[in-house]
Amino acid sequence: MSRFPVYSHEKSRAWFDRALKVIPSGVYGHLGPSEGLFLPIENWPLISSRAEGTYFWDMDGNRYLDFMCAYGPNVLGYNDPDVDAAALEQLRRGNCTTAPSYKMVECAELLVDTVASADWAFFMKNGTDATTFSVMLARAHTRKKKIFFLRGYYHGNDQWAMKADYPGILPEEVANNVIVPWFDLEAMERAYDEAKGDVAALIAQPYDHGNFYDNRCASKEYWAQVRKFCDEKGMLLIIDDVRTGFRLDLAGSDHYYGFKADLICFCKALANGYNMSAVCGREAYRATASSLSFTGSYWMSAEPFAACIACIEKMKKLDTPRLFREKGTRLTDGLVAAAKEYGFDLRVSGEPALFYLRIADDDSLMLHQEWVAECVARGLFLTSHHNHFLNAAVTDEDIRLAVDIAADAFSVVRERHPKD
Amino acid sequence: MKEPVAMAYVNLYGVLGCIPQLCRLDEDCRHILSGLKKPVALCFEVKGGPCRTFRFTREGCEITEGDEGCNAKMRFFSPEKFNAFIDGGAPGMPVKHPVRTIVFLLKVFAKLAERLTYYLRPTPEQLSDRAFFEKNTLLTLYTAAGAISALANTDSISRISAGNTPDGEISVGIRDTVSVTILVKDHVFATVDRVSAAPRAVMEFADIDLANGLFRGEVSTINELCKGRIRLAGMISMIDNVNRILDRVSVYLA
Repeated sequence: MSRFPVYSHEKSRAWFDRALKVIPSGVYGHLGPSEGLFLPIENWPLISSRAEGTYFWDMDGNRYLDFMCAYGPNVLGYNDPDVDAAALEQLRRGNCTTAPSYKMVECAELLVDTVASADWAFFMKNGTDATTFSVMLARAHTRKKKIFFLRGYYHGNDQWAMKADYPGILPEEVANNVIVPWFDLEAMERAYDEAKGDVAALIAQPYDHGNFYDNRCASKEYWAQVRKFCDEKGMLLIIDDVRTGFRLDLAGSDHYYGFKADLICFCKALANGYNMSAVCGREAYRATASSLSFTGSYWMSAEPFAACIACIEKMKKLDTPRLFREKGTRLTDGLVAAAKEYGFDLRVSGEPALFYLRIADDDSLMLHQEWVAECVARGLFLTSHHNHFLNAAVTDEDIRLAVDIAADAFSVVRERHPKD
Repeated sequence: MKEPVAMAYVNLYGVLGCIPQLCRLDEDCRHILSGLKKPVALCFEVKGGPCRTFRFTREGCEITEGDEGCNAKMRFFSPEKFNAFIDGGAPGMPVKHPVRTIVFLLKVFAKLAERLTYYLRPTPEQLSDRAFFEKNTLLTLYTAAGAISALANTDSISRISAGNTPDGEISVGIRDTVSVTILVKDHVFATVDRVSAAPRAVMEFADIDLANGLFRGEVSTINELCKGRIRLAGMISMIDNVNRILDRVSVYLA
């Protein structure tokens, strides 16, 4: 018998139906039912009314303990008082102005001081902007065409970062993309030879955190080899730290894995939900960065810079990477134990700060989807296909609640699928 | 852009690939086949393309790969020539029992092909007949399912999607009505007309009306997903890739 009541979503659904009339897909992208894999949709909150700390509430007033953190931006807790105060104060002083605010300079200085490989910072709005800028820079700097990607990659939504079989993408737009497997330097060497050395960069996430499969952490040795390879070939090493940035190491995930990226892209955890992204780079690439034609109407708005400064300072104060490792480990240990109690083999992979879950009892993920749906229906927001995120507002009590709801959901799924 | 080799596979595995189902569903086809004096195994062999044998009996039709055991055979000297034949052009060269081949082609196969066209290229008036509407929907599903595998294996864009599809069985169907299975092994696809006992991914439409609306582009996939009228489960990355190939199917079958 379930101990946690199953939520209903009449009002959220009504709002979603309104959205469908005026917005393609209602909610498009990863926050929506299609890419977000709301299976079945009835179990999911579709539209929220408010958020605080590690919780958000839907339009029906249901509360969700949220381990997706808006897919990353919520790093300190929703509505963090320090970050919000800094942002609001900056709004009063000026936001989108003809001469950019001094906050931009302060923010760049802070990033250069914080990120180990950074000699400069360049600002934009989204992760895609950051990766696109980096790839342009690599091509401009090396005068070479091809870009290496590691299999299972995701580097945003611009055409160059997608695949030829995606709607609206021309084969020509991705003709210079070369996909190589993770953890295979020989394959990279072969691909380089096949490309006749016409390779500008490798763009990679710090470890293999793709969707639908167990995530694979990298090693310092692997990255040392990759760094050496790029140096020998004259390729730039671009680290896409959009998802992982500041959750593994405040000095950058390259620092965490013991190497220096040439360019490193940040976005999600940069400003606790305020809209900005950044590329940090090494001195050798400063002049090329200056030469690029790359800007946007809101890219130098001051409010997010103020939020970013407050966010980074607070992350330093709290030592959030340590916090996330500890909390992620405690939470996932609890989930695994709850699964075991009901006879399920729950696998945890990836870094604890961005843990990926999978029930391994079947290889179709159907059982896993069922369990996730029962968790969400009871107020524990997880996803079935993507890594999760921690934020600094998660308390021990939240972890206990998460494990309790998870156990309850396991009991429901077990009742539906009794063991032979 | 349509690639001739891929088009030939779509024609043989998708369009003609649903002849067995047509022979099951359509009374006229059953009547045509009932006049067969003895079984005919007609092979279509396309140089640089596919080769399959359609085995006709009074009971119906089955398809096998290759030309083994065929007693009538049409050879096409290029995928383009075969595609032209499907579009109503000249037949290929009869290379095995030429008389039997030509006679069967003209007297039986041509009539079956007419019935196929009748169902797959309907007028709005025909679709207002419920029985016709249902057969049109089922045959469109079979055609699309066959074409998915054809393109996954041959079309350069669809090969990318196939290359990202893990092994396993994908169940595609209409609830309580029909289900076909797409087998994926080492990024090679095969469509089979059977229910999957252990699908790794499922895409199921709530009813025939929804399936027809989707095939005809009259309803939105996302809207229907949001209404819960399309059930997705399992390795959704498999479904994502199938949907990308389906997008190519609409280019080839347009």
